[in-house]
Amino acid sequence: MSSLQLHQSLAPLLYKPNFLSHLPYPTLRFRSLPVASFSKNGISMSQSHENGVVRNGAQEEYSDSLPEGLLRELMPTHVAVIMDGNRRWARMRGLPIWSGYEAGVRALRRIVELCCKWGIKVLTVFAFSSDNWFRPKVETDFLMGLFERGLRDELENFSKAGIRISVIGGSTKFPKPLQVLITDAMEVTKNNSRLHLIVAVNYSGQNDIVQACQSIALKVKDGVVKLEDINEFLIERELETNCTDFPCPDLLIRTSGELRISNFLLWQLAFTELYFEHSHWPDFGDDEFLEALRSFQQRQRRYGGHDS
Amino acid sequence: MAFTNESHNLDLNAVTDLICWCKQLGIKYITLYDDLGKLKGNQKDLFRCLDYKASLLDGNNNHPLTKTNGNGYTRPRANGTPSESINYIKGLTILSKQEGRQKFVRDIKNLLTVEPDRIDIELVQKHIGWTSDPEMLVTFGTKQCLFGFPPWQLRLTEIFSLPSHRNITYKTFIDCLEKYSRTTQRLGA
Repeated sequence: MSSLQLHQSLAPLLYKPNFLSHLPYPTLRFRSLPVASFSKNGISMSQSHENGVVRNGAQEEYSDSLPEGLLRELMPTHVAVIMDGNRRWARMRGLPIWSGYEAGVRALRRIVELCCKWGIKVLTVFAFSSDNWFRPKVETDFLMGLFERGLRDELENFSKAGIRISVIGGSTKFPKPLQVLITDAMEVTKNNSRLHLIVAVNYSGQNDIVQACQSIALKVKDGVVKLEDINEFLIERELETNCTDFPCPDLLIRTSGELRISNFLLWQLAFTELYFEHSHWPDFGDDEFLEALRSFQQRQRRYGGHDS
Repeated sequence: MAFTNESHNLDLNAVTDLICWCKQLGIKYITLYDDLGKLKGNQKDLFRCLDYKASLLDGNNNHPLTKTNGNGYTRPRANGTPSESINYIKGLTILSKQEGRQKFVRDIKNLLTVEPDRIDIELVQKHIGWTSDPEMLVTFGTKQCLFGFPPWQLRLTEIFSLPSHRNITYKTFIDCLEKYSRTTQRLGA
């Protein structure tokens, strides 16, 4: 089957009803906070610095209550996910791998909803690694198309739901229309603050560190930064996750039973809780996410934060 | 091997067991990591314990210099260096949080004076001085976290978690290695 025929046969599957339009913009009730500074949206936040990482002490209450067993004060601020297992999920069901990717998109939509509902501030997802270009071209073309269509379809809903979109990873290999769409999406949603969804596409943790080094080297060359002032916090500020005030995930979830971080957020994961889940990504739903959060909270209760 | 939230409670006996098992199984390079640097601080005791274990494994209980003091440790030689354990410390590296991100910064500082365009993965790799990335990392402790283990090297490392290194059995360790042997890395493909 030629790639054109393949794309045409998949066309009906690629248009889904908008999923976020039913989600009300949150009704926020504020408790009094020790230190107040106001973001552009007028939300008061307290911030503490922990080794150069800004942590949000915001105590917003959301109109949606948390499921049983979860405590608001122990919710992670930043969750990262390696969405692994789409193709294996499809093969196990005798389906073409495209069905696996489709199902993966549905799972991602649900997790984005839950993050909004439960007050998680940042969700970073590993959608496509720089190593994934080794896959057959028909597959990478499909994935780029899926990403473009998904972003185009959901942009309005993201705006309505208060979701900010950022895309990290080198975009020069993407088709030009996708590059333009990404730039527009990031611009249109940049003031949203309910959830920051960071999508890592064509991303590599080592390349992220290298580009941070290049950026610092340029500043050294220009006399903006002195060599003796370079420390790990400066490197952190130059990484692609500098689009958020909370660049280091509190919790990393990887699905499909694989036990490695596969070149994802190498620098940022130094003190992150790791949670390896057996189910494949399309099967990662409410129950699985809840279990991951409960496990995270249990560990926090027992051992507290770490000395980072 | 990384002793994550067990730094306060290290059992050198168990640690040296792990080292000996690795060596007996032909594992060439072993890195021990605890973020608080307790292993580094107790290197002398660690090597003494390793010396004793090595002498047992090599069947040399009556070695004139391996007299236990009732706690299972050898009397060290006059210069304090390990004797029988030389084969067991070859390829052994002991790290703490100082060798994590902080060391990465120290190693690449000189690199940051070159033309930015020249900086790439290969050049960074040359500056950080690791021979090879660990293929397998075993973390001990109920918190599943890397606790600042050198980040650059963990790109493709398989991570296994065990609740504790204390009272670890050979079988548990072998089970870990067997799981590792069954993993398939697709390397993005």
